[in-house]
Formats: sequence, C-alpha cells, structure tokens
Amino acid sequence: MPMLANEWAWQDISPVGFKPFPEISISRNILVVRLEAGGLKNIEIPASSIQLRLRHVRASYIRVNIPDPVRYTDEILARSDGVMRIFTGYETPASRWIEELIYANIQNVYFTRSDTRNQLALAGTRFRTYSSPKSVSLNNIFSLRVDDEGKYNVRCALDHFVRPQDTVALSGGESFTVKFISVTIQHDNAWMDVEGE
Amino acid sequence: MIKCNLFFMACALMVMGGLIMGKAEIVSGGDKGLYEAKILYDKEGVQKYLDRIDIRLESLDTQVEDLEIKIDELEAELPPLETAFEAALAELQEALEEYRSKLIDWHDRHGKWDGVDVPVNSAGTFHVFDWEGFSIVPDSLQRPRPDPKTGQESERPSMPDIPEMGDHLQAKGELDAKQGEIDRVKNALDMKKLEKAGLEKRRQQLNTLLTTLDEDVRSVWCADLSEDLSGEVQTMEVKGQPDQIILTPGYVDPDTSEPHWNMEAGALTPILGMTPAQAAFNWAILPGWQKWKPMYLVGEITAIDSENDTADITFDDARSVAQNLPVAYWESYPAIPVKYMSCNSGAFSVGDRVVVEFANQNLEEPKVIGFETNPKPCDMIFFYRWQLRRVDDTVISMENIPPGVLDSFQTTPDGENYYNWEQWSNYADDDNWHYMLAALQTHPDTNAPYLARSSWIKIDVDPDEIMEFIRDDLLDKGLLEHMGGSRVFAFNVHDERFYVFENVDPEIDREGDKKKRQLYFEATWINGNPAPATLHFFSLNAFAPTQSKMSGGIDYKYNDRWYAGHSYDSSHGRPSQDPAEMGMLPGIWNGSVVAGLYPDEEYLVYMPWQTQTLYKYDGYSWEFSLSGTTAYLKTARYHEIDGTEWRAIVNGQSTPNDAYVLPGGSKSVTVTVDGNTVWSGSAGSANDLEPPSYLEKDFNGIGDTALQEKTIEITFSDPVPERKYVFEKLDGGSWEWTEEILPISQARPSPYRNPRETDSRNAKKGADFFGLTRYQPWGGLIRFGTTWYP
Repeated sequence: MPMLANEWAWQDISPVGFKPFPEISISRNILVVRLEAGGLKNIEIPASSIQLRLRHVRASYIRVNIPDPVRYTDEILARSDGVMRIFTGYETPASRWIEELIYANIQNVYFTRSDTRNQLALAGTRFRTYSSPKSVSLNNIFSLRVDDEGKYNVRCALDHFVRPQDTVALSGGESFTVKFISVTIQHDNAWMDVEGE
Repeated sequence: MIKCNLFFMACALMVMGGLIMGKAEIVSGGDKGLYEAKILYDKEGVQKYLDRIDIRLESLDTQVEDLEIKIDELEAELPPLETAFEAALAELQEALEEYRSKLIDWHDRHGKWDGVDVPVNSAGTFHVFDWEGFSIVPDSLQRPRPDPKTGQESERPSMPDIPEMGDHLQAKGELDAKQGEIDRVKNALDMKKLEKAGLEKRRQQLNTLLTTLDEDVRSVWCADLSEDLSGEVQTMEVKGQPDQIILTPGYVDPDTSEPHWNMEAGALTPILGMTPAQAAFNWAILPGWQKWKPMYLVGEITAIDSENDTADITFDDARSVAQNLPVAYWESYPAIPVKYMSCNSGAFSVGDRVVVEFANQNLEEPKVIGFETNPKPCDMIFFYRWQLRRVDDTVISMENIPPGVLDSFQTTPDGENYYNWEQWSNYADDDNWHYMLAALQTHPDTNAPYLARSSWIKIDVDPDEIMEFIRDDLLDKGLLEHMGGSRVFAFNVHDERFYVFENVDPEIDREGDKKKRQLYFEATWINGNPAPATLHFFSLNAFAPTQSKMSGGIDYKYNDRWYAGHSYDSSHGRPSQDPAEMGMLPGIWNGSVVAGLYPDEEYLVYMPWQTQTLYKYDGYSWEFSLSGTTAYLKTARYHEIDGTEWRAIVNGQSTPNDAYVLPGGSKSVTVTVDGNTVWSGSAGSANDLEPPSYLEKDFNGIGDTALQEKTIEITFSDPVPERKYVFEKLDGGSWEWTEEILPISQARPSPYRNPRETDSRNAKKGADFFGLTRYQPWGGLIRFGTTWYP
C-alpha cells in the first residue's frame, strides 16, 4: 500500500506512554479501605499506609492513615462512628476481586497536622477468633529469627491468605503456629511480620 | 473484670519514683489471706486527661464557630466580586467582540483567509488556531489579500488596547483571592473538625475506661496471713506489672501499733489513660526500669537460716510485658533478710514461693516480706507453763540450776518434718513458772495449720536429785479464748500424717473438777492413707492440767459408735474384736494411742485428761519406766457399762506425797506396798463417778523418796478381772512392773459390742496409776510434749 507524502504514523504524535492498543495487564494485588456507616453510601478512601495487627481471640488492631484528609472531611466525619473494612484481593483493568480481611469499628480518630502535611489515622480494635486454621507456607522471606524461647519471627512479603492460628511450614521441616501477624502497607510497599511458636 | 484487651503498665508508680505500690479496696474475703479486692487505678490522672481534652474541645468549638462565621462573612463578600467579575467579563467580551467583528470585516474585505489554503512553506508548518478562531501564525508569514473593492492592501486590524481586559483580570483576581481565602478558612475549619472528632472519640474512650476501671475486682492474696483487712489497702505489683498483684502484708507491729508496711501508695495508670507520648515512653523504658529498679519479684526459697532470719532465694525467670525481655536481675540471691509478721523466717519453709521486696528499688536491698499465695500463720501461743520441783514440793528456781543448764536448754536439730518448741527460758515469772510457746504453722503439703514445733528440753541435773516436772495448762486459764476457742489444730506425727483436732469442746468443765481435764476433739483425716491406717494419738498433754500425772485413754467414735482406742498398755491382753481395731498396733507405751482408723471418715476422739509423762532417755532411744493405765480406760459417754466390769482409779495428786487410789464401782481393791496392805476396800458405787462416790485413799508414803524402793501391788478382786500389778523400783532407778492376770471369775461381755448407749460417766473403767512415775531420776533427755520424736 503506497504511503502518502505527508502520511504520518500515530505513534509519532501520540502522547508518551499512551499505547495504540491496550496491552494485556497482569493483575495486581490491592487493598481497599472502605468506610461504612448506617444509611450512608459506602466510600472507598485512599490510604497512604495501613497497619494490621492480627491476633487470635485477643484484640486485633487496625490503623489506616489517610493523607490530606480535608478532602474527605465531611465523608469521614459522617462515618466516624461507623466501620472500616479492609479488603484484600486483586484487580485487572477489567475486573476486581476482593475479599474482606478484617473490619473494625472506628474507635479512634487521630488527626496530625504538620507544616508539610496533614494526616488522619483511623484506628480500631476487633476481637476475632480464627477457628479454621490451615497450613500455609511463606514466600519471599526477608528474615527469619528464632529467639531463645523458641518464638519464630518471620518478615516476609505480604501474603493475603495467612491468618492467626495457621500453621506455617518452613523449609527444613520446621513449622510453627501463627500467634500474631503484623502487616505494614506503605504506598506500594508491603510486608508482614509473622510471629508464632 | 477488665477486658483483656486493656493493657496496663505501672507508669504512675514509675514516674513518681518513691511510690512503689498501688492500691486496692477490699470487697470481701480474707479467709486464709485470700481477698476479693477492687484494684484502684489512677482515675484521677485519667480524669485530668479528660479535663484537658474538654478544654481543648471547648477551644475547638470556639474556633470552629469563629471560622464558620468568618466563612459566612467571606462568602457574603463574594457576590459583589462575582458581579464585578461578571460585569468585567461582559465588557471584555463586548470589547473582544468588537475587535472580532473588525477582523471579520477586514477578512470579509480581504477575502477569506484560511491557513489551510495558504501554502505557508515547504517545511510543513501548519496553522494553529487560538480559542477565538484566529490564526496565530506569525504576521510575517501572513499574506493578506488585497481589498477586492479597492484593490489596495489595507492594514489588518491589530489587537487594540482593551482596557476592559485589565478590568477583567483585576476582577477575576479579586474574586479568586476571595475564593482562595474562603478555601483556606474552610481548610482550617476541616482540620479543626477532624481534630475535634478525634478528641471526641478519645473522650468517649476515656469515659468508657473510667467505667471499666471500676470493674476490676480480682482475687488477690495477702502476702501475710492478715485475715481481717478492710477498706483501702496497698498492693504490690510483681515486676511492676499489674498482671500479678499481691496485697502488702497487713501485720500490725504490736510495739508500734503501726502497720508494718506503712509506705505511701501510688496507683496504676492504665495505658489507655495515657497520652501516646507517655505510653511510648513507658513502653520503651519499662523493661529497663523493671530490671534495674525492681520493686517486687517472686521466687522460691532454697535455704533458710532461721537463726539469722534469712533465706536464699531463686528468682523466677521474670519477663517484661514489653518486648518479653528478661527483667530479673538476680538469678538467685543468698541470705536475704526475712521480715514477716512476728516470726520472720519462722513461718517459711524451703520450697515456699515468696515475695521479695527491693527496698528503695535497690538491687542490693532485697527483703522477703511474704508469701506469693497461701500465707502461713505466725501465731505464737502460750501453750503451757512448767516448773521444776523437788519432792518436797519446793520449786527449783532457774537460778539454782547450775550454770550452763540454761544454756543447755536446747532444741534438737530440726528433722525433716519436725521443728522444736521454742523454749523461752527467760519467760520465767517470779514464781519460776516458765512459759512454753508453740508456733502455729501451716503444713506445706496440706496447708493445714499444725503445731510446728515440738518440745525437747535437755536438762542436765544431778541424776540423784529427785525432781518433778510440773506443767500447768494455760488453756484452762483463759488462753483457750486467746487461741480462738475453736481454732484448728493439727499435730504432726512421726509418720508424717496430719490430723486436725478442732472445736475444742467446752465440755471441759461439764463434769466437775475431777473430769474437767477431759477434752473432746474432732479428728479429721487430712492425708488420705490406705485404710485402715494407723492413727497415732500422742498424748495431748499440752492440753492437760499440770497436776495430774498420768494419762487416761482415747476413744473414738466411728459410724456413730464409740470404740475404745487402746490406751497405753499393750499388755492388758484384752483381745480386740472390733473391726475398727483390727489395724491397731499393740500399745505403744508413750502415752499415745495407736488405733486403726479409716481415712475419709470422721472420728470424734474422746480424750480423757492426760498427764505429764516423764520418760527416761538413754540417748534418743527412750523407754518408759512406769506409768499408765493397767487396763483399758473406757470412755462412756455412750456406753452402758456392764456391771461385771471392774474399775479402779488411782488418781494422782498435785504433790508427790499425796497419791490417791480411787477405785470406782463396787469392786474391791487391795493395795499393798512392800507386801503390806495399805488400803483395801470397795471403790464406790457401780455406776457413778461423781466425786461423792469416789473412794479416795491415800497411798501412804508413795512419793516419798524412801518409798522409792517399795513394791506397790494393787489387786483387783472379784468379780472381774482379777489382776495384780506389781511395781518395783529397781536398783538402776527405773521402775518395773508386772501384771498378773488372775483367773477371771466371771465371763464378761465385750464392752465394745454393747449396743446400748446410755449412760456415760460410769464408763471410765480401768485403773490408772498415777504418781508413780514422778520420781524418776532425771538424766539424759527428758521427753514430754506432744510429739513423738523417732
């Protein structure tokens, strides 16, 4: 097919990074913070970091940091006596699949103001019993420590499916029962500390 | 109870330095030192925090109000600005429209000018149009056409100087500035609102906390056996953490009448009642403070030095609630001073778990101040008094005892389960009565109180000197009340079984002087042993009056029936038919009764008055010389006594020169001394032991030194049994006695099987010989008291 003299290619004038044809994206793991309150529409709110401290029977603790919260003042305040739910799952450009990880009543609202940023933290505790433990293995282990009392402390990549009471199998035949999971999610970085014995 | 999610630390105690204990309020309890107590937290501190929040909230309310007013004011200023802006915009648009029409007109005159139609250059420059549709192609590149009407080229209208544009920009600037100001204020308002929401949440949380703090009622032990604490008391937080709380010892020092531990108390502050900074600070320094500035730790006694009142302690592997760090600086510590009630180390045993206080929070100043749980008693009780008399009844004063004798009042070495009576010779009064004290303690296994100390006294005296050991039971003199009347006692016995004798029966006086020495005890089996087990009743002469010299017997009730516990004499030869007696060992002649009893059954033990029994010891292997009953002594409260039984009582008197035989029943008794009949006769009526019916006969000369060599013979005549007892003083100074059982002239039914339980008092059958043992030369160890030292 002959080319016209001043024929141009779309790629020559397209904005950088804008692909002429959608590529197939791999799914990515996501966490969703949703605020709920009776009678109000549920809102998903951006969070700069999420901290979870999951325990069996004893208090689990959830803390969500919301950057620049004044953008959502009214929405948050309207739901400050409500519930925050943490969902975990994955999404593709076409779909999203999420499962509730834990929820808690919003018990504390910490507003921090500084010269450079304002930040709001929503926190709450929840008592939950994990009654159907399973066997899991941990991937991407950064560090593994066993103290003199035989307590394991493993820092690894965030695994959305590990829960307290689960049995973690380590290489070499070691295993331990998860007593405590501390999850830290900051922007695009997430890890968790799994403790047990 | 406090919810488990609340985590507490003793920060207030820490911050305030010297205040090293908390507080609690007694709700109920106290038995054996266990209380229900409400922990008193630092609610005042929480309330102060709340007050600060309220002040801040009040300020925020004002600020929010001010900001909202300001927003209203600012927004009120918006309309004119908007109007001005819109007007300026309209004028600008009008001016622009005018210019545009001029351009259009110019274009109309010069023909349509279209950049696309104009081959601008070969470089492919293309035209771009601005928002008004005008080309922004540089003028130098534009080639206007000539006016079709005039054929002349006319100047393209240039952009006029539009003053409205400036006006518009200014109006827009003012409007934007105002809007920005409003946004900034709104932003500030939002921040105030968020802060307020956070504080309101916090206030709500603290209010809930205050309510929850009132609900922390726990079972807490007192460190000592203070059973009557009430009101507000001080608490010790082991490791400085509130998860283990023990009440401070409540002992009141009788000398000062002050509580022994009289320090100012602080209060626990719940972590939720702290600011985040406080909590973080405490969390960070807590383990270090716990380790280097300890207050109370618990540990186990590994050794005790009762002379110096010190104990060696091995501490628990204490861990901090923060980071699980080890906080016990000492693994063990030797010779820690023991300060406990009135007896210090006396209440403790190896293996006891105790509370150690570090005075001034100094690692080098530990002090044992109590028990972790189950505090043991420390009561010291006047038990009886004693004195030494010569045969002429003159009292031997302690001053007359050769030097060194006082020093030789010593206790035997502690056995594994034996302690010694504390013998305070310096407790002698003007009349040379010496007072014996007993320590009431708790057995480490059974937790039952027991007399932890038995008596051994070694008295070095001239073996040829005849002396009498007189003891006077102070219980008859009102000390029963001192002891609480129904206090529970247990007596340790050599085989480590323990029995509780409780509820001392006030019937002690019910039968007059002659029988007032009869005491009743409830015997409860404590340690289960295979049935039938052997119960050793040792002579309870601790309870007995002094002046009587020999014992009676012990009967017991089982299955609502009375059985005779054999007393004193294995040689009486009476066969036992009762199942309860099957396990009975032949008499152990130590003033004790051995009876087979079943565990887990309650026995009511009847114990006639006991007397002081003196034994001569050769080293530790003792042998009795002479004393006791020559037949069984049958208590009779519930038995009808068969008329064919014989009985005779020889009663001792308070002085050695007076000894009486008191045969009971209408039986003839003959007493001979050295073959000479000194008395014979009938022993009163058959069924009455009341004093009028007693026959009292003086044994002439018995008790006299000169008569020590005499043989005393007492024969009981018909009907039954006919026995003869011969007592003989041997050359070596010991007594020997023989018993001759004469033909039984009449069959007698077993008294133990007599189901008729009717009369009581005449059941005391048997013959007790008293006074015969009082004149033993003393030497070696003289045993008396309540326990049998193997």
